[in-house]
Amino acid sequence: MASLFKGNLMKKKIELVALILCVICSIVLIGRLFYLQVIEGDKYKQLALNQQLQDTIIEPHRGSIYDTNMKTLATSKTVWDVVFEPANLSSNDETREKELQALCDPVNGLPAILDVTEEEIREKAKNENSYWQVLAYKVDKETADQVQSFINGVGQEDRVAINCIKLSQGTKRVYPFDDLAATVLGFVNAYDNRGAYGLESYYNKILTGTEGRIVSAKNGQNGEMPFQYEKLYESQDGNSLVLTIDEVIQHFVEKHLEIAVAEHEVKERALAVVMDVDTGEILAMSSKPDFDPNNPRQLTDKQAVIRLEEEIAKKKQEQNTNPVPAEDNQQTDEQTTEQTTDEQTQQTSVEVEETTIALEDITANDLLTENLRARALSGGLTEDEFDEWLLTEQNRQWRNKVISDPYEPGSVFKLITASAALDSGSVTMNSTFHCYGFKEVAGNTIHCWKRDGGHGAQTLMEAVKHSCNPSFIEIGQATGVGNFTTYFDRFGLGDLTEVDLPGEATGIHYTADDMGIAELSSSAFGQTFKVSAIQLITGLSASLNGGNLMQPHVVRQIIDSDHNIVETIEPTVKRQVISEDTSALICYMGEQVVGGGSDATGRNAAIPGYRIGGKTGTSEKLDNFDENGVQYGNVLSFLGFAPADDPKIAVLVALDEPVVGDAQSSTIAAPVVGAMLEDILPYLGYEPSFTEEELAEQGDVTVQTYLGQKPHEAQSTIRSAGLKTEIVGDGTSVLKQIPEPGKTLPYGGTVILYTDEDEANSMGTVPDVIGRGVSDANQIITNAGFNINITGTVPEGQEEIVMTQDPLPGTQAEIGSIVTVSLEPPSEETEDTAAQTDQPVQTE
Amino acid sequence: MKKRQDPPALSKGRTTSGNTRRNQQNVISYPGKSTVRGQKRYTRPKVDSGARRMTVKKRVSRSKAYADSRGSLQPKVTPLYVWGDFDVPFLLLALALLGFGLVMLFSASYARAYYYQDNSFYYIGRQMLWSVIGVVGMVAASFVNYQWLRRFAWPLYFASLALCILPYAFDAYNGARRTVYIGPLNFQPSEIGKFALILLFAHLMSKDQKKMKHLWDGTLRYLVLFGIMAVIVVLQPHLSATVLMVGITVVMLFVGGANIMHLLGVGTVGVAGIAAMVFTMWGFFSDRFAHVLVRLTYWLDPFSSNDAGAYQTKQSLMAIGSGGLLGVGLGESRQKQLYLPEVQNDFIFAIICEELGFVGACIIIILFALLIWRGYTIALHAKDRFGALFAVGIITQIGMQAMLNIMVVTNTIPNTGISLPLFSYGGTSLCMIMGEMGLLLSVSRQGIYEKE
Repeated sequence: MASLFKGNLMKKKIELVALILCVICSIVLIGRLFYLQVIEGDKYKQLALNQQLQDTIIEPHRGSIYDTNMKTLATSKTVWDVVFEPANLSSNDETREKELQALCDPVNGLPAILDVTEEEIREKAKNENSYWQVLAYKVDKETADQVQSFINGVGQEDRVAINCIKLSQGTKRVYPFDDLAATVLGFVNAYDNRGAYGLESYYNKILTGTEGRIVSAKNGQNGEMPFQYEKLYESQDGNSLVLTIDEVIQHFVEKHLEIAVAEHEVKERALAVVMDVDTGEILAMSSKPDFDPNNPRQLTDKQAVIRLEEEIAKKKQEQNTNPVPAEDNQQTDEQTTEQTTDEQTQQTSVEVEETTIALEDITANDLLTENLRARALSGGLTEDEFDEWLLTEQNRQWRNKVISDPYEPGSVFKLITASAALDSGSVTMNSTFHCYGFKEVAGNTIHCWKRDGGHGAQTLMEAVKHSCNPSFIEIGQATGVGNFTTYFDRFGLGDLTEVDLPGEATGIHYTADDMGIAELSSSAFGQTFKVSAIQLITGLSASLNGGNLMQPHVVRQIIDSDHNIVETIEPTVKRQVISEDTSALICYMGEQVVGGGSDATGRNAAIPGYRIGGKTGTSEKLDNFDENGVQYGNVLSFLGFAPADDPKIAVLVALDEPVVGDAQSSTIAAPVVGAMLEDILPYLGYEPSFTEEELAEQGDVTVQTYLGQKPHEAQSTIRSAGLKTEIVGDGTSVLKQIPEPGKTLPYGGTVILYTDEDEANSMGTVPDVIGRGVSDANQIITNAGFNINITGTVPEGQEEIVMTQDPLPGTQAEIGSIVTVSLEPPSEETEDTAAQTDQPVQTE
Repeated sequence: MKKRQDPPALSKGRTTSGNTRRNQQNVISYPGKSTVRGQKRYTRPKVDSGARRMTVKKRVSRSKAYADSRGSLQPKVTPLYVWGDFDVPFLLLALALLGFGLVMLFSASYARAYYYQDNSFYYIGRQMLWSVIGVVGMVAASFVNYQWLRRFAWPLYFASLALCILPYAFDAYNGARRTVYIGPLNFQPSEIGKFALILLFAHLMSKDQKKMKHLWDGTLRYLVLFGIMAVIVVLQPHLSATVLMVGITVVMLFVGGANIMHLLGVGTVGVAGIAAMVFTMWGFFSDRFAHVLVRLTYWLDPFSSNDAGAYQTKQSLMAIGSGGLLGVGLGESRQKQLYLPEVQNDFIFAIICEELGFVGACIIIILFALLIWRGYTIALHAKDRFGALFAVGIITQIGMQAMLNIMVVTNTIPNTGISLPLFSYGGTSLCMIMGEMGLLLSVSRQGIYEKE
């Protein structure tokens, strides 16, 4: 035993060593490798890939937004960020200083090209390990080219080489029409090109496209791998949107809405929306004041300054009434802005008087953020308070009032009530109603707008035409809660319209369960509930177009970057709400509102030669109270549609809290819609048509004086006289008119109203029409912006040829002035006339 | 303790080699028959194959030479060369690993060579040249009678001590002086030092076999011899070579029959002593071995550090992990593209793992395991005690180096510069290893194979 053990001992020891080294070590290592490669492999692989692959993102081109005629409303253009890489500066102090000097050279260096100072560059150079110090964001191609030639050292061959400036390509969103349809388009955030508001946000994914990547391998020294490893994932450019919105109509709408906001000092913004009633397409949509999407954070509403002053006054009042927190505030102020504390207290007395700043004194300069900030800080607000206020104001101007701000529709809603009443058979066109100027419902007295005596007995048509509340209470009660709420819902007023815009708000309304007689009565004439403008115009379109509730939409087509159609949004009928017959009756009643004579509430929207329908609306903001608990504020709105016999478009305008005194929608909102339609209808190809009778009445019109009037008011008067108007400028009153008062114009001639001093001197060259036919001459002169006055007659059967004209061809004359042409050869007599009509030719 | 008379060699009951030879001759002449004295038959494996006939004849002639040299002449004259069969599996495994190593060296190094040397073939070209020299050297060494080397045991030891001091005269590379530069050549004297230790220990342990149980003659003497060299090497500083020397010394003492209690006792005292010394002379050690401590922290969690020292380990782990089960494919490694330092050298195995995956790495490990196993088999069948210990020393050195390298690469142990035998770039080192393997083959030529 012992010898056997002895003999095998060394062998056994060797075998033991071999076992340890071969088997145990191998098993340990294989186990370790299994753990590293199979179990944890993906983790290490990912770490390896992270360092090996450089992932170059290819930004897809963001799609554009076009109007219905393919005019570009929003597009992206290539811009460059100028990036400074201090890490690439030389590590040698001397060379480094040379490089910095070259960078900061005021003549050839970056301060000459970009908006940077030497101090800024040197400050950024202190971040020695940084590869990303941006000197300028989003510079255009021209500037980028200059920077590039600076980097290349063009013209400065003896200069030290610059390796620390790079151009980083990016895109910038551009809106060529500035603030046109801003609340519809929205804007993109500058830093990530994501849509932040409006269509840019709603269709962000479609517009953005898919970003591409170049995944390429690099070696450990950041060099290219000698052996190709590169994978390209193509970027997919964003698709573009073609809107239903027509830039021209949008422009008309915005122009008149802006004027309306200015002339009536609208406090809570105004809205306008134009819808194709047959398709539900939105032709124009605007909320004013809005913003310029190219610079969305810049405030545009002059009222903002007044609101800021109110804010300041409130703060001061708080400080005065609550001295203890005021001291706290004072202390924090002292910490932040020590030196201004004294000034603040000194200014307090002065500022209090200044709070009543006049709207017309506010300039665009006051609205610059820095000026507003200065005003706020000197007024005693803290930075934080100002920033919060600014954000509120910005959100306010970005808000699309049409879809986001439900309001009480007022009498405009009576068309819906009438539709429901007629379609349900609750009333007929022959039903009569009585108005004594007021009506008692469930113990409350509800007044008609005509308090003294009321409208008396009226048919349904008359009730609509007079916008009579007591009659509509009766109509509503006749319809009944069941019918009323059913139709309310069927008109889509209880649901979101699901228009393709973000931020649609749902209204507030009674349901069949909680609607009593009082609620029914007030709802019947459009009070005590809220709907959004988009809901209202969609519902009204249904009542006008033959009864079909359409799906409203803003986007007509989605097209790819090669303009191939990806998707077309066809008009969709949601449901038939009322019968065609009922719809025709509603159109008829609507036309009576505008064209029904001197007692028609909407007559200010009438345009000679066109069949216009409409409905006025003046609603009280019942949930709007001032600090004393007194309800205040009206929404003046007007719905217009044309042509009234077969409506094509509907226009809804609502002015939220205009400064109007007792004025009604009929005098404030109706002219705005009239002005819009006056521009829109000819554009859409609707020519004025007159009956024989009307034609007979048409003669020369003597121009009255409109100086000092509000533009829409003047326009409405001129329009009713059978003339056209053009408003030039965005002022609040007429400063100048061409032709001057007392002049006569042919029926349909144009009066130009200037509301802005600067615009008041536009001159044109009088064209040469001698020897031309009358209709030719008329067209040429009108196209040149002048009015024509044709004098003289020619014998029967002879051709009407212009023999003389005044002013003479080639003369400079004010746009809108009258060019008198004579069909008779010059004679003593006509020369006298010429001498007389010489007057409009201004020489100034 | 009773003195035990150990047999001269592993085989049982033999008294003289001449006798053994005759027995063997009988066996070969009459395969399958029982041998003289009823003992087990000694035989070569697969003696019945046709190719064996040639070797049978040779064996006869060699036996005559032995009979002449050992039987008739006194004192014995050890011949310079030996002639006979060597261990073919060991050679095949070695050549397979060498071939594999060359392919992988090219794959791992060309990117680095291209980038830094402007020549993709910089490393592989040189390595192939050295491989040819190495193979020739290995074959040549296999003919050298290892017995003959015994006379150089002491001279080589002292020569290598001197050589190990030489690097101190040269410029430091990466803070260490490990290498001697002679013209275009360079080599690490510690490689020779390791071999010198193996040779000396095998020589002494077989010569003074009877004294192995003595504390001084069996244990301490060797530790002192080792210690002198280790101190020189460790101060270069060259920790990995020192670690290998420790491994070689411990394994040889263990196999050579040192008293286990002595070994453990001395080991304990030694560790305690080194600890005390490090503790008391902290200022001296902290400078020289600071990198060792830092490497320990890198080892525990390499990804927590952004230091350059942890970089290598991190890159290695990423390469290994990237390989997954089947690897990214030969030549497809991305980590070799200047990420992983020393791809051609200490960290070549990481690239193997990346390109060939878990499966390929396992094949390499198994090939190494088989090579090592075969090496120990040669030791087990060595003709004499010296040959056995010599073979154990050599194969322990190669095996430990391979296993430690893979452990370093996989971060199983802290990072220490240790190359992978037959794979890593380095001509002199390759030749040294192949020469040692040739000597191992030489041991196998004289080996006695017992059919079990």
